[in-house]
Amino acid sequence: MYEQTKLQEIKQKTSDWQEKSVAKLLSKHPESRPVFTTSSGIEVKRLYTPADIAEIDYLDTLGFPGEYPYTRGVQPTMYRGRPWTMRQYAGFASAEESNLRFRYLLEQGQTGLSVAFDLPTQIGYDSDHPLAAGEVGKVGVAIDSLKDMELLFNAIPLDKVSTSMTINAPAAVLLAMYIAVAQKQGASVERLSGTIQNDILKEYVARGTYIFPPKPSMRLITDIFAYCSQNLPEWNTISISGYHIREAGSTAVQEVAFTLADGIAYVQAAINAGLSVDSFAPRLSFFFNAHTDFFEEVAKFRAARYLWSKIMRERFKATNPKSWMLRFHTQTAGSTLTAQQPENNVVRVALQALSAALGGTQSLHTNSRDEALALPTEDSVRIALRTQQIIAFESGVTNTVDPLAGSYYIESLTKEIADRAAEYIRQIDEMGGAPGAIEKGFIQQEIQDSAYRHQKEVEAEELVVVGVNRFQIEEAPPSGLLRVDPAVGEAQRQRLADLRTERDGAKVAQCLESLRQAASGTENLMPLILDAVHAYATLGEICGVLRDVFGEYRAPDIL
Amino acid sequence: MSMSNNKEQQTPESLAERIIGGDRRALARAITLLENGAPQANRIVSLLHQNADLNKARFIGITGPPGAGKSTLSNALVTCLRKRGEKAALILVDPASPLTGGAILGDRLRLPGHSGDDGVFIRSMSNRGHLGGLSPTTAGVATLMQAAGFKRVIIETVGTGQAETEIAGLADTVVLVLVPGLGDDIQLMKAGIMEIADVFAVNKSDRDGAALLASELKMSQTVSSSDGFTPEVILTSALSGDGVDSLLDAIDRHYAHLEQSGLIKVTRKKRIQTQLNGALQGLFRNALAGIASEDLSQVNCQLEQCILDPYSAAETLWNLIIANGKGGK
Amino acid sequence: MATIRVLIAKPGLDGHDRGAKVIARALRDAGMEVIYTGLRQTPEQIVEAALQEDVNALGLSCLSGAHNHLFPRVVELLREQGAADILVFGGGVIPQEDIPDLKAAGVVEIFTPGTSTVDVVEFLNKHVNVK
Repeated sequence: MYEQTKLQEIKQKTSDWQEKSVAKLLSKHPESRPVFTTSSGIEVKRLYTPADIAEIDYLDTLGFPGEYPYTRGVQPTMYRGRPWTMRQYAGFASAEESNLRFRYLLEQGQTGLSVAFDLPTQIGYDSDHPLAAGEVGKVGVAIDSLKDMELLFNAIPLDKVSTSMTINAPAAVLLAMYIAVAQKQGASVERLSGTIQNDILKEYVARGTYIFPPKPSMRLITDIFAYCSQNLPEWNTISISGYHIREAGSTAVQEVAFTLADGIAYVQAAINAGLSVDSFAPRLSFFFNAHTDFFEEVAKFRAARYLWSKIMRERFKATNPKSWMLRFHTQTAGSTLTAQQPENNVVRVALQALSAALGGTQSLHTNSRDEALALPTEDSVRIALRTQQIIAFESGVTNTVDPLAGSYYIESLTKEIADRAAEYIRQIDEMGGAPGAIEKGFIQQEIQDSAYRHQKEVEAEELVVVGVNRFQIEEAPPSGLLRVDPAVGEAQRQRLADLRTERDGAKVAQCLESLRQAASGTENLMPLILDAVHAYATLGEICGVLRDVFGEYRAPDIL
Repeated sequence: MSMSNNKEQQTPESLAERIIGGDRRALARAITLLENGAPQANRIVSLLHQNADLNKARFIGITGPPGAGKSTLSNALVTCLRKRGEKAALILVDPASPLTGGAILGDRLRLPGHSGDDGVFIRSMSNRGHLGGLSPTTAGVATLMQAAGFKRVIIETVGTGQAETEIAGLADTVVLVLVPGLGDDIQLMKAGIMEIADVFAVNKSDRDGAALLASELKMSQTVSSSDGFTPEVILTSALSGDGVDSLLDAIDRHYAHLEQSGLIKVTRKKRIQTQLNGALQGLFRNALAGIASEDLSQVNCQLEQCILDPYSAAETLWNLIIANGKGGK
Repeated sequence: MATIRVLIAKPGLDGHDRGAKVIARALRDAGMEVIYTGLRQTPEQIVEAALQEDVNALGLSCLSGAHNHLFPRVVELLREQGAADILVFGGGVIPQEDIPDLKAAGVVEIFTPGTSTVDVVEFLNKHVNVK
């Protein structure tokens, strides 16, 4: 970006500076560490100058917001138009209680809904399944049938909100229930907007709520792609998630690399299923983590956008600019929250949220301060929401697009992350893409090695965690934490028992049988699942049929 | 918090009796004693030799390179045996860390589906630094299992792809598990492991190259059948269960061949030798551990200062062991 | 020659196994033998594995909030099997106020987020007597 002669001069002066000013100071006051690195092990230099970004071609690598390669953002005006969507992941115990929380959050100015489901729902078991014992309503809302979904969205017009559902293996069933509720409300289905996570590959490596083996799982995903491209054009059919990969212990570089490798696998699967890339790619969305190394995180988001646009345009020959854009949701890093001095988490979350804003996120969840202890209380959730409102409306960081661009450090880090992630993707391609690398255990092993290294660094105090390995205090046990009423499980099982007697059993059986036959064949399963859902077949029954036909995945766990 | 919840149940006599009666807790405890070289362990094994019929059980070895799906296949074999009404025990050997001696025994997690079934007993073992694919006590552990009524004991080796030929001295039938596309064939041939295979299982049979690998194996076998038996090559898919029945049939055909040809006697002799080696090594380790620490550190000190050479040091230690033995310990 | 054997188990449905795996590795590096059971284990499966493996200690990891149901159930099953000598400890997102009840139920120690693996190793070395 500079003339050669000017660059030479800068380089010369930099080395003068190192030899004079720096050397003189170092002889008296050595630096606190011999080497400084980011979380990904990228060495951080003492000083960055124009010489560090001399190789970067502005127009080619950065360009303009809203234009290829989107390094600077996916919209031309970014937050000057409106800030990111503030979306707090929520879902507690019963459908009624969650419904109240949603309505509260909408009144508080939240602009999108986000649903957390309990584990039995995420793994396709009804609340009365033996494995569901003790888990019903614990980490989110329990949904057994359309009846629960009707309660969950009671008095919330579905064509007026955007809803994100953290659901993967049984995503098709929950999406069908959402559509069914909209139909019953009389809302127009083609106007529904929202996201299903629907990202099974990261379940195998990081999050653990898988049901079926990879092949039929990929089929369900491409069925959803195809169905939505026809019927729900505004729906984000997948949220390709690095969040959980990072939570499981990966570095920033690995988060980008493994997430994009998963993305490549989905695109390839859909193309193999006969879809044209531009018919589904504009609806792909991503989900990243905002972690603690501030500048590395900002650079990470920018690098991910850059890489994805190249992949979509050059590798998959997409022609619609919307297919090239990496749009993403961000959540602050749950694993960085500490149980010690939980108030400090408010500050951690603020910094992480700021990195997401500076990285150009489309939507953001800020964690609550007490989440290392239990489910967040209403007060904590409000502070978390206020944190992003302060960033959006008070700090001024939204006033210009991509404000950190041009920083020698940020640009050099962005390039380094992109290069290292591209190298991982090349390695993964050689293993047959993400599915092959997962089968080999490569991705799992890489993540676990990083997680263990991180733990050891914290224990050796090479990494400081305030309040945990430094600046500790004696604390009274926290009080006022939210508890899930154990009666919720009982009430949920009762409602399910009632449903099983009230509904038209013959109709249910017939729908399930049709689904079974279709599952053994190749037709799109979405319409059949929608029929079954309308007949009040339960989630467990629908997934049970699919378990029979598809089998269940067993993890080749890597330690 | 001590391990002795009930002392009188821990005598070798009562443990041996309970093992013969099929008591799973006693079996589990005796295995630990044996692994740890506890003095009661040898007594238990000899009691079992006196009181139980230890000649009927068939030991099946499962070996092969990492990633071949040995654990999943072993599990599928157990499932298959259970369907045929046979009890089965399974030993899974994993490597110990050479630095710390610790180990993560992770194979068990590939073995779902036998919960609540008294006809199955699974035990994970560290090789405790021993090379050769087994641990020094694996043979003894297999003996304990057969005394507890398991007529089939499946032994899965460490599976590093190295020279894990020790299993041949213990198992009646060695199954070598291979998968297409790993490219270890040449490595394996070098390691001499092809020669110990009595049955080949070409696993992940739905993969490209499985049929090719199977036919290559068949070709190579026609040359090297010295004892009049040509190892069979079976295509399996441990995940779906395809071919596992055929594999079990092939294992049984190999066993029948051993019986008909009289080779079974040779196999059992080898097994006894393997057990003897294991027992001797155990005694030796215990004897070594029985040397007083001041004596040991003195020898080490002299070694470091080059007052003693390693061979003389060994002799010194050996003499200490002998002296301990005479001391009537 | 006796080695501490520990079973690390994930009862319930939650798939967050980062902590369980980090602990498993740390115990391995401390010279212990660690049997890892993988995800989605019922208390019955866990106890059965603990008995067959004849472990000295059993570590349970749960981040879903189902610990109050699952941990005491494991202890109860161990007692039924006459294996109350197996030391049970737990970890995960567990509110302080739940800890007294879990301890009363027979879980010897609970490790919450931020625990150093060194503490877990020390705890086992102190409480498990393999001799």
